[in-house]
Amino acid sequence: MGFSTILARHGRCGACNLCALACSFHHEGAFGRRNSSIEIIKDEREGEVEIVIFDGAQDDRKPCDGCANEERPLCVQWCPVGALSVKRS
Amino acid sequence: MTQPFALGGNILRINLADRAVTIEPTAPLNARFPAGMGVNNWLLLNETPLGKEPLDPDNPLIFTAGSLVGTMVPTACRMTISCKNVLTGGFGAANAGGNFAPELKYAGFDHIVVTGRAKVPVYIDIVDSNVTIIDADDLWGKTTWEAEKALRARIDRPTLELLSIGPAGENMAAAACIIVSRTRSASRCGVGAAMGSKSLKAIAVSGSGALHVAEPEAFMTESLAMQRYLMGVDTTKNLRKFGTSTSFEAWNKLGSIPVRNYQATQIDLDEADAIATAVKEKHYIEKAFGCFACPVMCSQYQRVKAGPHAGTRGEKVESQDYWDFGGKLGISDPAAVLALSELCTQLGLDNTNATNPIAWALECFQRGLLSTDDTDGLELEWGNVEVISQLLAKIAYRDGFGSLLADGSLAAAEKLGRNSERFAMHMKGQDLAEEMRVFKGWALAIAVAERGGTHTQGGPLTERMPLEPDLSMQRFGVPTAFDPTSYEHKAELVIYYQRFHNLLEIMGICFYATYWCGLQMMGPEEAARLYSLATGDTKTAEELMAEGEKILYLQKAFNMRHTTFDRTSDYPPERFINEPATGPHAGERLERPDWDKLLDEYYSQRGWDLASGKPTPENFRTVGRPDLA
Repeated sequence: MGFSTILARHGRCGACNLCALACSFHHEGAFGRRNSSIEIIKDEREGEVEIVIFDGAQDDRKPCDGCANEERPLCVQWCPVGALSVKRS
Repeated sequence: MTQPFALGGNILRINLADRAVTIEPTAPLNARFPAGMGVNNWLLLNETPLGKEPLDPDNPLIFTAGSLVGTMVPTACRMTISCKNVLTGGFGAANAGGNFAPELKYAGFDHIVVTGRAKVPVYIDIVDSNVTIIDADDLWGKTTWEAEKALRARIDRPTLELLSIGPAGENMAAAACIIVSRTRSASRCGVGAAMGSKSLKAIAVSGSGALHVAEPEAFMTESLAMQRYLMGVDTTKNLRKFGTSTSFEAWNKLGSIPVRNYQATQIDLDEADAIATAVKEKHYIEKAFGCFACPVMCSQYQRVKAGPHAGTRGEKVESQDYWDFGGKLGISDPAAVLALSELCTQLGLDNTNATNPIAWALECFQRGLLSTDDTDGLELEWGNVEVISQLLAKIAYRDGFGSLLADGSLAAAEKLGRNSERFAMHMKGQDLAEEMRVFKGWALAIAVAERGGTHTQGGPLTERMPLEPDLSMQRFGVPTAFDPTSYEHKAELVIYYQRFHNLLEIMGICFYATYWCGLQMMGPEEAARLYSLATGDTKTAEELMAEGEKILYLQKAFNMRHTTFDRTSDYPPERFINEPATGPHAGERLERPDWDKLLDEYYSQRGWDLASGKPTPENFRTVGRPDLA
């Protein structure tokens, strides 16, 4: 497996946070939002979502490692609407 | 103490009168009661003082995250909020989705117990175990959306989740709800009024913790399999595409919606078709959203692009909103239903408990029992959106005629007199959402519900589903689960769903992922597998259904302590007994001898006393709670 970049299609995202939880499980084997490399920011008024994937620049966040030990990144596996996919580099 | 699997691990207690904050572990109570709803109901029962009015500040208001909330169990995000019921004086609870409950668990809490009344308006800010109570004079008077916007501007941190009350809660209108994550509502029982009675405007929470489960790898495999399975089911596909709002048309075809304060049970089929078509053809629906951990995504973001309500936009308009505004009040414009629903969200009004007193007033006006002398000059016409909009605001602010309606239709009728009580459509004092005449199991569940008038404590939807008798036997142990107008075996069916609904509330799983709404979805067996893997507390489906039964006894015990409810409280409104349904089941009504027999069967199935409709001390012993008798 090489390094994977996760592509986010913000318009598809339904803000369920399952990707963020799957990511937290990948990092710590436990479910949370702050131990995840993904944060879902939702604007309920306008019906818009931003998928933020932390890349290491943020001190308090675990950077995305592309789930190097997994066949496919867990966030991609768990997304129920196809908002996340893998781009090989 | 080690954090228990899947739980936040602590109970947060806040007395707003002296701003005292204490934290205690959940584990001792979890050892005695099912986590989540079980502990919640025990706390409510044990800590609500006798003889106090529902809005007395000494009464507890309890926020609870379900026991699987925060994990990856599909749809496990639900929060239960309990209090002494503002409308009935008995057991009260409301339930909401959104993101607040999981965030509460990540902060380390399973429950928040709020007592006392703050001297000035406040909000509670929870950052893990750091809990502060902050003056909120500047937020008091704001709508829920304004309050949330102000709090988000003030509190700059990631994963901030909020719940709040609007003017309705501040003014302690019985129809006040609590708005969660801006778009979700914990409605019924006056929970927003209870929050207002404590001068508590909002709660903010952010949690940096994480939840462990007992068998991580197996749990992940099972949860993902369940998610993928659910996504392939037709019910899920329909919910994601249209939400629940378009089922209004199907319910109307069956002649089972409340029309003009329940004077009829079906609106014109073409009119219903026009409403459903307008919504379905994406005049309004733009996108589907899910609550936390929900792959079903039944929450439709809708936008009105043209006409008098252009600019209205938001989420989570439900079938029940079309019963409330479309059916009960006679509004045929779906854009107006969206606009009024959004207005209720901003005012912090529970749509059902707000629209039912309005429907009562409209019928009183129709029959000459009310005139413009009573109504601040308003002509109360069916379907008049502007007038109904004004009435909603009057209820929320207890303004003029609105103050008569603000305590529910029964209280309004008792104050008005003029023989208007026959038009107050309630169970045990709480306003109804549901038409009851056609579907007999549905009617029984609503009539006997401990919180008063609700289909979410045992209401079977199977009566609307095609189901072969042998499959009905296999699933429910009765051959008539699909037969709408039959009384046969409906007591057993309702008991099944009462246990199942309580089981789901224990876990915090949404009903819309289960075979409450689709028999291909999650049932007790699947829920038991996920529960066992997450918690390490290995339970069979039967054992968990038995836990659901215990919940009902906690609620019953509360009502036995705090109310005079008895068998007579389990009879439907006279209108449903005397006036027949319209539509395909024209003529159906809940005739008294049939209802007598149905109640006998319901109580007999449980071994309760037939004359009083109450459990015996032996019944409480059987469920392992002799102390509650």
